Amino acid sequence: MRTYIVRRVLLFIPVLFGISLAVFALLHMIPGDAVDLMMGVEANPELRAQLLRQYGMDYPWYVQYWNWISGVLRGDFGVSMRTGLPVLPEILSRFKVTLMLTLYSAVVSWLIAIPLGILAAIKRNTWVDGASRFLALLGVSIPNFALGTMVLLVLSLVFCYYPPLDYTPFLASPLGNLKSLIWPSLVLGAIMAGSVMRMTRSALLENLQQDYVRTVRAKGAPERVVVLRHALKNSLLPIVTIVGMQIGSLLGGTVVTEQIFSLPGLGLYTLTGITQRDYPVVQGSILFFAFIFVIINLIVDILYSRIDPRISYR
Amino acid sequence: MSGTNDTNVLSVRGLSIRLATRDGGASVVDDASFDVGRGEVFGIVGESGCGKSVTAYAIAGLLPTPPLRVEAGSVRLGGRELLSASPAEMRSVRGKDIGMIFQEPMTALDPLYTIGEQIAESLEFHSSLDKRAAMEKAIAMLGRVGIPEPRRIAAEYPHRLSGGMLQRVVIAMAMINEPALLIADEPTTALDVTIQAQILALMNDLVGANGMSMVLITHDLGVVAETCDRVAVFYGGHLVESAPVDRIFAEPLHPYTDGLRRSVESIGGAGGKLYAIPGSVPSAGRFGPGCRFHDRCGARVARCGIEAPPTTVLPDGRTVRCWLRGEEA
Amino acid sequence: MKRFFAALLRDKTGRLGLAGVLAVLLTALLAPLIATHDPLAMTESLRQAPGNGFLLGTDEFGRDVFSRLVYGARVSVYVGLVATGIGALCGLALGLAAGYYGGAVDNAIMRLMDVLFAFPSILLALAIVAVLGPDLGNTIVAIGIVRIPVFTRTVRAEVLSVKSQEYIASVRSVGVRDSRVLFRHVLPNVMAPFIVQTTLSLSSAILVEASLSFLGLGIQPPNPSWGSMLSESRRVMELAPWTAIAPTVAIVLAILSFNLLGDAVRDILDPKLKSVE
Repeated sequence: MRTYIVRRVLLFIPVLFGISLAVFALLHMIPGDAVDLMMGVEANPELRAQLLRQYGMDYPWYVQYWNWISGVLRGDFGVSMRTGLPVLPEILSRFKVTLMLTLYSAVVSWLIAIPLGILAAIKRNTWVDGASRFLALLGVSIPNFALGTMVLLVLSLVFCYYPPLDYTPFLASPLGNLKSLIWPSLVLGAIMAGSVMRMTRSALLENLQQDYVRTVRAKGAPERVVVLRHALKNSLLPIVTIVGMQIGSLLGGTVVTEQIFSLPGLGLYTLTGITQRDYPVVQGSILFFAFIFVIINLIVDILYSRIDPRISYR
Repeated sequence: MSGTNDTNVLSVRGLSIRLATRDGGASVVDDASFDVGRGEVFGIVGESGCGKSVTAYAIAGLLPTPPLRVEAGSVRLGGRELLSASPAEMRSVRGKDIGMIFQEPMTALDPLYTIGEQIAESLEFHSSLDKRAAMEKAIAMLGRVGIPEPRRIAAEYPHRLSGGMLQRVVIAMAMINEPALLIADEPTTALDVTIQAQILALMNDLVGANGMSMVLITHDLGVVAETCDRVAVFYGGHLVESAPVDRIFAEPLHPYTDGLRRSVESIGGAGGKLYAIPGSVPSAGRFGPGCRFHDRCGARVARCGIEAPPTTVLPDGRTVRCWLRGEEA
Repeated sequence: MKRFFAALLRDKTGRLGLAGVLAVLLTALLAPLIATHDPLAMTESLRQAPGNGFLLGTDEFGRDVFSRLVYGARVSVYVGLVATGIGALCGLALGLAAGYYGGAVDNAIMRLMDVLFAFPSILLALAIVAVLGPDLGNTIVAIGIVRIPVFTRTVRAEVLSVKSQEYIASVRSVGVRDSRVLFRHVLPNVMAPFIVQTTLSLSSAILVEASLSFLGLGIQPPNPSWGSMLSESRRVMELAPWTAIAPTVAIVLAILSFNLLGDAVRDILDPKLKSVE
């Protein structure tokens, strides 16, 4: 197993390199660079050359790439061209926010989706099933920014409540942290619950028709045991898959939610970096995202082998 | 076969099962009656779709009830009526008084739990043994069904075992609570021929050694000849004949049984064509009001197409459902 | 083909989905006829509640929300269809090539798809649009590119399973040209999951377009797009909630309709994927 993990990590290094190269190339190919943006179009050529030199941008792009990537390997992601602050510490502290948001949202979605999915499978073809499936479909059909905006609207108009504008980190105050994150988590969680619930229901239904379930019933098992101990455990594999995919897209999709609820997260940082052509910020963030994605995929695979003894990694 | 005899482990009377379909529904089993005595191996034989498996499921209370439904009849296990039992009561009967063995061993077990855990689970439902004692009992049972190194196998997962081994595990699981009745639905059909013989021999030994009764469902006449004491022949949902095995093929009463005998014998015969019963089995909803075999029967008369014959019980205990043979009683 | 539509209409989900999709398409098509005002025209009646000829009220610039909504449908439909078309066709070509030729071609294509797939779709589209510049064409290209990996994978999987069927080997052994094999034999079998994926992608494309324009990276103001309408409404939504509610309802209904349709199509065309009934 350990060798498998090492192999997976090693295999993904070239992909990460590829991504970093692609991002770098894309950013530097477009006309108009960060310096132009900073100075406006009609700029003094001398000043421009000076700025270019200051930012190390007067070298050919592959040299710039080498400079950057060798820095990355040493843990130095460069500094933001806009603020002058080092990129990596900023990424990490903002990632903590995005991570907390993602975790809370995931928990919310599981609490909603899995019981609903089980209920829908057991009471198949009754109104409970139909209602749950419609709710799930609705969840998949509402964009997170729409739900978020509506929630804010209702909160302010009906309850005269405004979520806090400042973000309280978890270590400072868990309760304050919860208050900062509860509404965005509910929004994201509700949406995510849609697809998890559908997967739970269909995986469970499929498993309930399998031979081994018939055997368990033939042993005289109470229905509760049949569903929870046997069918549900067998359904975990596709559920874990979809949760993995969801967390991946949550990490990226928080951009919009962070903007609506004013959270200092990684998504917002990336977005600002992109619109302002802040190269080190964009390169660093995207590379970081890709890295996290790899880790998540790895965790999902490890979970697979924990759940299902048939899966073994030679 | 008179009334309900309490020395019979299983007594089935007038069992009728119906399948709900989009165009009205079909009768899958119609008025079947038979007894299984103590220590007896009772075979139920017939082609695919004749209702034999459905009968077994109905006895065990495992009928998938939205499409299928027991319309009428009585099923008594050791004198106790099962068809009117509550789901909770049936749950305590299944696994304890009735043990079931199914056709496909490779998919019969939950792939995520070990062999030992799954056998011990059956003990958990029906006894108050603690986990360790249950596991010990499971291991002992594995040994009794002929599995080598039972302790090691008990810690294995199902996907590591062969079909024959898995079927032994299923047998162990069905017998662990020492049920009075075993129901085996095509237990050897999915196995290699050599393994088939082993499994059948195993089942025969166990049943004999423990005084259990067994209902063995199969389409294979060879299996019936080897293993069963008495046999019931099903065709199209009708139980057309039942008799002791050594007599049923020597002197078949029902034309269908006779046809079966002739097709099997023609295989071993010297040259010549294989005998096949003319025509083919209609699907469940397509039977008319008369005898279900009449359109393929060489001996039919007018009455056969109009009215279904009742089951006639002959003095020697054999039953037959045919206008022509029955009236000879 | 006729049987397909009959089956679609018989299913409740299919009927609802089809109705919704047709409504959206017709609105987009007939926008100039349906709209009550010029969507860009600013009037004196700022932030008016619905009434007075303004079916859904006006926004902070006095523009008619209803008309803007109707023209916004055009953007969503146009972007959704074209972007999905791009993604589908490229994905079809790539998937066919990868599955059919296998080997190095397959490897190269799939590695590329993995890289693309590694990004959450919104981020990827965002990055592409930000790099290329926010306008309609670039938005379409971005969303289309994001959709390619899904199509490639679906098509490739189908091609692989068809390829392993014996009749393909026998046809090839007789000497039929590759392209002919592809078109006459492989393609028809790939069609079903491909169509399913297309309908599902349409709703996703609309969602991404709305997200992009919400962030200001899609079609630029003052042209109306549902996402940007919602984003602009945030400034005044407490005073004029209809400016936020209208685009929200439109977006949700449109995406929901396409999802319903997609589900129904999937249930009919691909029983393997069918949500277990």
